[in-house]
Amino acid sequence: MKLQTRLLITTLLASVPLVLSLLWYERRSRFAMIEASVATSVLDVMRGETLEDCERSPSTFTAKMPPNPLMHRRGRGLSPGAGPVGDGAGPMPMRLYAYGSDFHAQNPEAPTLASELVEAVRDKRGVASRPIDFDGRVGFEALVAIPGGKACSYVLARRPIPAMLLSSPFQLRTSVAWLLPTLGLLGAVYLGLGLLVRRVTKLTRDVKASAKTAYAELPTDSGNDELTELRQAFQDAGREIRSQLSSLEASELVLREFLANTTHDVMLPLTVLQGHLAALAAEKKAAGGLSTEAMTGALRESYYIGALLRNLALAAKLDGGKREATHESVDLGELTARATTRHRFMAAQQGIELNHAIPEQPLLVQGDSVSIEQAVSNVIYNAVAYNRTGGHVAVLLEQQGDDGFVLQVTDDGPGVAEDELAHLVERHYRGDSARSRSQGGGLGLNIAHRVALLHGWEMRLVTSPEGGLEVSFRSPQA
Amino acid sequence: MSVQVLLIEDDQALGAQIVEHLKRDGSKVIWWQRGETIAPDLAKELNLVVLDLMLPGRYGLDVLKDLRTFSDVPVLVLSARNDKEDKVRALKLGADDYLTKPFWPEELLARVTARLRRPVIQNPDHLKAGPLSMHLGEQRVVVAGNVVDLTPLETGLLSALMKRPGSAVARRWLVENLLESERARAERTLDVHISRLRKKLGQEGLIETVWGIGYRLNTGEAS
Repeated sequence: MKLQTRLLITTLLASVPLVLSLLWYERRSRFAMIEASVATSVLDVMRGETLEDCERSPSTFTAKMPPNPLMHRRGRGLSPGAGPVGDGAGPMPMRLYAYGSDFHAQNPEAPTLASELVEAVRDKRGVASRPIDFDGRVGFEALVAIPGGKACSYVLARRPIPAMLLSSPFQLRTSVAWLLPTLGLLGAVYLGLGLLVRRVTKLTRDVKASAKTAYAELPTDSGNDELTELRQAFQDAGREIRSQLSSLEASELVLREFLANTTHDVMLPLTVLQGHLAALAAEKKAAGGLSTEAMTGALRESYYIGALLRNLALAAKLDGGKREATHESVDLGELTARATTRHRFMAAQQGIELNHAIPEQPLLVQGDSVSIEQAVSNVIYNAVAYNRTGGHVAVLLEQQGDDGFVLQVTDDGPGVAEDELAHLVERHYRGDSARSRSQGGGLGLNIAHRVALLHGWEMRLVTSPEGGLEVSFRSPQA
Repeated sequence: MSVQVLLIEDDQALGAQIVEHLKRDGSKVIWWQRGETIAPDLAKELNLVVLDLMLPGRYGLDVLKDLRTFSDVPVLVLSARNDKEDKVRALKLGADDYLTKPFWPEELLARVTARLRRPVIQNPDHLKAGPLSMHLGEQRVVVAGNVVDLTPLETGLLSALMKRPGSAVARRWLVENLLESERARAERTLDVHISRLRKKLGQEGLIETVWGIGYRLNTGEAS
């Protein structure tokens, strides 16, 4: 849930108990008002003759008073009840009962006093009240101490409470008086927090933008509160990440340099070794003999090591960040011829016919010449290295439309099972069949695949019509 | 006139091998084992420079840079790094070709041959390949001194093969580009025409059938 929504919900939830407690407080205040008003009325009535009357015959004293106007029309202040005692008229009569100083009434009709009222009056105040049931309606009784009374030391006044006071607490005029400031306060809280939320949102946006740009510095914030501190914390974290990244890059660079230098150092003796092996094979042939198994084995191994080393260097480069192809104009025809030439010697040594066909005119594509040549070379290597004596490899480059091409390497060597074809480009995949020793632990075809992807080409592996493997690179226009 | 090659390679073993292969191929070789500036007088005598990059003395690319200020003798660069930067810098500085280690002697010789046979001026109307010589626009070919008359289609087939030395030509390309009517575009038809052409040329194995591709003119040269 978004902070803005949560804030709105929290504000609304917080306002519920607040409003309820305000309503409770208002209701209590009204009761207090009624109590005061009733007490005033009772004290007003219990004077002079009425008091004497009560003192004379407490056992029969009972009085009824007309309702206090306050009960009907609120807001007029506390005015004593008017009209003759015992009149009994009006919709909300008030009944009075007299009690002696021991809180007992001599009048049998008088109800027994509730102990809470007695204690409250005795303890501290001249009046105490509580809600009661009044002839099936919500009523109210107040016990009032009468100054100068003996047999009538206390008077209990009972009356119903006007329904209006009970059922509609949201009297517009009184409610508005406190509801508006309350809602105003809540609104202010919401707006104030809303500002914070906006700053948090901005901070989030800034941090995201920074993460996308190698954790670049965040824009600064002029404030000095916790949010500014949070922004600063992100700033520091970003700095830490940048420094870690640059030290990682540095160590990766050292590793790559090491790999490149090692590869470089091995390439030279390997070239010499290949030269010696080729010379041995030539001498053997000149003397009219066939190459021994050991010689062929040595040639194949040096062929493999050469391919592996070239791929290691390129794999390090492909893994090392620069993933988008650098664009230069490359003649794919010349590149194909060159890559084929690299494998001609080994193909001849193994009795494999290797041929290529390229268009008469240069076929120009945009890309990285070194990695494309390596990709094509890897596919040809695969076709030659896993073929049989007497086998064939055909490398065919054809122009498609104005600027499309298909480069296809087909062989008639041992095929690859259909379900293994898709796995051949995986880095460490080794198939079951005769083609199992994928070059460089699966590095060769994997690199070819990655180079194709980098250039936006499709690399397709299918079983050739002759049962071998057919690998093709296709430009999107083909 | 024999071919004069300057090899600049510091490694004793590799240098000796290259010298041997080039000599066996009929070239005269001068071998330097450190990087030094090539004098203009020497450059005039040379047909090719084979230049390693990592050298004691002058760095290979500096040798190349100096050379290019006064000479356009073909330069084949040897590099031990399968690296685009080396290659791009070498080509920018005027190298004609490059070869990355490890390489088989045959690959080096193929590249050397390719650089040496690079014709400076090519006559677009005249094709020459092995024993064959053909003037475009004429429906005949000279085979080892004998004139052979050809049909227009045979002329088209042969010139297509002659234009791609070392490379084969796809059957599909020949069918689509040379056989005109739809009915004629059957692959059998192509085989028949090639068979007739072979007979007319009279030389065994001159037009090879290439597995998986089509046909190739075999003039005995490596591609």
